[in-house]
Amino acid sequence: MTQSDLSEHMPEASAEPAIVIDHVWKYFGSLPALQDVCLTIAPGERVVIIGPSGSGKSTLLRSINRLEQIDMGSILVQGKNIQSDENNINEMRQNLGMVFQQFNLFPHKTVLQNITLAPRHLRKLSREEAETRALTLLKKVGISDKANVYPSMLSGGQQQRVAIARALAMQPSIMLFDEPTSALDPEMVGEVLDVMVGLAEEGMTMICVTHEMGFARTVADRLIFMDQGQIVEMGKPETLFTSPRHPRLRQFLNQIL
Amino acid sequence: MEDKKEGSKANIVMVTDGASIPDPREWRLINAWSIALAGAVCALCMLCVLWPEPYLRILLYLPDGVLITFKITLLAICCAVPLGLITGLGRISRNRCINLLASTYVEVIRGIPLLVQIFYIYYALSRFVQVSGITSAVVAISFCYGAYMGEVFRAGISAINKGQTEAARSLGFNRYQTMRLVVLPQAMRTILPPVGNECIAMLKDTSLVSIMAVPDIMQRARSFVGTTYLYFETYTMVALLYLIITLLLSKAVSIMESRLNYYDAK
Amino acid sequence: MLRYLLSAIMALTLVSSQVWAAETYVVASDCTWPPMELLDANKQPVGFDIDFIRAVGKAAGFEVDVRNIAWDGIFGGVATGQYDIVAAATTITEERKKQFDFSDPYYEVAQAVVLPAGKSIKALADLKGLKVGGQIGTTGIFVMRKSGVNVDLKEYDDVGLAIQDMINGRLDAVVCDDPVALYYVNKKTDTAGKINIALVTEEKEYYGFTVKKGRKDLVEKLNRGIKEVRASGEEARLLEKWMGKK
Repeated sequence: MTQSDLSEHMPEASAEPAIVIDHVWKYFGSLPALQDVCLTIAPGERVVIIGPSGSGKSTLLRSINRLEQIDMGSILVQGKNIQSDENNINEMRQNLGMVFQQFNLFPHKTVLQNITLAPRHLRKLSREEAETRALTLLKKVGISDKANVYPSMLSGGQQQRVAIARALAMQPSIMLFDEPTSALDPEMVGEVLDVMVGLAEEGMTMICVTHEMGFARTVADRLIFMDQGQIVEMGKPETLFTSPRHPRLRQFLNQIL
Repeated sequence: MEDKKEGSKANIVMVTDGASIPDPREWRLINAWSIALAGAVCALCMLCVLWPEPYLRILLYLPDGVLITFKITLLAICCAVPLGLITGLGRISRNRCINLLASTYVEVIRGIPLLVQIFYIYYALSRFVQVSGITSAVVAISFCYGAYMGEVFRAGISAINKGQTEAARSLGFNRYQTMRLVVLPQAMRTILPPVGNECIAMLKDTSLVSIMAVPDIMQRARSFVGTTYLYFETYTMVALLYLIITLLLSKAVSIMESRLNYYDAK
Repeated sequence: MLRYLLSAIMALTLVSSQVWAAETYVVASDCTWPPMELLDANKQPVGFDIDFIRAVGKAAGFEVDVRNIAWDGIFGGVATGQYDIVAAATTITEERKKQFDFSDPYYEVAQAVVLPAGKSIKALADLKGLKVGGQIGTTGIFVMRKSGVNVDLKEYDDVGLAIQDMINGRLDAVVCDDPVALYYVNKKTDTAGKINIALVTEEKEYYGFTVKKGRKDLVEKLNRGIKEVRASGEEARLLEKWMGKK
């Protein structure tokens, strides 16, 4: 089935899936990083992807906003093919917020400027509008007092919360989290997860690659276990945690729990 | 695992022949820079006061040469820095054509001594186009240093963590906006000292233009020596003059560098 | 005993023969000033001055080792003793006499103003406002400065570059010694026909060999040699060879 067939058959209703990943393959050199991955995510769904390192979970996430180019298959975001030249990838990315493991805040900009940069240049908001929005978001992530400092003055947890606010400032309908707590000191993991839980409760469509099993258990509508570039098992978190069917998932859970 | 590749290129070593830029964090009063400057200024003043003949006479003979040297350097900086930026961007361009063009330019220019380039533009190309000595000097120096600076820009831009580009792109910025708003402002900080260094080296290299009968500091000095045969005295003054100018410039670069460090944690 | 004496005498003769063997002087010349000095096809210095100093050496009993040194530093080198004699079409001037000693004059020149073919001037003053070139540190430049004519004076590393620039149109006139001007006008194939001598100054200049201040011995040898070269007719032969004069 080709990509165009798929999009033609997709109804224009609200029931349209947020993301459709269809038979996706990705190679690093001759090494397959994703092998025939298929996944459909509904609007408002919270998906958590787990798996050992090198299992392709970050690659899958980064493929969704085309930070990685896939080699075969197709990915549709709200019905639009991200590979197609007809769709402006930059506009599509504005709708796909992303949070990185290493925060990737812009060090030469203050916290406020980090958050207002994209809305001002891409959404053409006035300075006041953008700043008002940014301050609201900073309050939401709980660091409104740090608006005018540079990222280097913040702790890792604070930086990651700013990064979430920065992604939210574009008012995306989907948020992608790429191991958002892996680079944090343990005492800071909680503050970031709290923000993410809050976001989940608001009904944001979220796809999160993480090792935080507690978070997965409380937040995820669906848990996906990946290994060797394949989706090995998926389902309700309770089901996967309590009765994993696949031996690789059992082995993985034994190692981390 | 695939995102662990970053940061390996963070350490860049650049060797140039310019004066070394003083460390902006250097707070001590006595350091190599202050000793050199104080020494040079004292020596200059003492020579002029104690033996106005010939030292003061030499000093008064040189200022129009200083102006020419500054003029050439300034014009060349104005051309070489943008040229370097374009070359640097061309070198990292994914467009194979542009990339090849920029790389070939760098390769060709770096393989030809500046003196030969100056001769070439002024004397060899005069068969086709005739330009004044100052113009050829500016063109030759700009092309030469544009290539060197291209490498500096390239290295400075590549040294910026890939995550910065990814963060900007994921927000929806296009490649141009990402470069302008996120990568270049950060790269400036790594780029400024070596670029400043190149500019100072450029000022020193303008002394080559005297072969085109352009009356810069060096040629004024040679002309003075040509009539008086005071080799020691004249070239002592010239050396002191160049030293003072380059030391002041390197301090200026250092101050600019510290301004660019505003976003560092203490 | 006799054997000792003999060997002592032999040793003495050996030493003294070395002392009496012709001394070698290093001669510096800037081979960008044809026909006075230039490099031949084998990159060897040749020219009137070179032949002349060799003849002088032969007459005065010393060997010469000619080296090609850029004009810019040639006086500095003789002052510091890197070489003994400058034979480079050097005009004896009052300023130079303060710093160096000179032999007797051996050649008379004047300054020539060279213009592109077809152009002419009547006096130096006609150069007013024009771009005039010459070799840095030569009397052509000095004459222009002293003349008080307001010109844009360009000082080149060698006179050939100045002539080239004039042919290219970036320079209006070149001032240099008249034999050099004649050489470029008549003999040098790539410039002949493109330029002409518009004016030769009235005031004469005299070439002398330059030595370090205080080398009276050397000056004396040079003067003796010059005299002998003149008397023997060697000078006339060299003039004919290089200048075409009889």
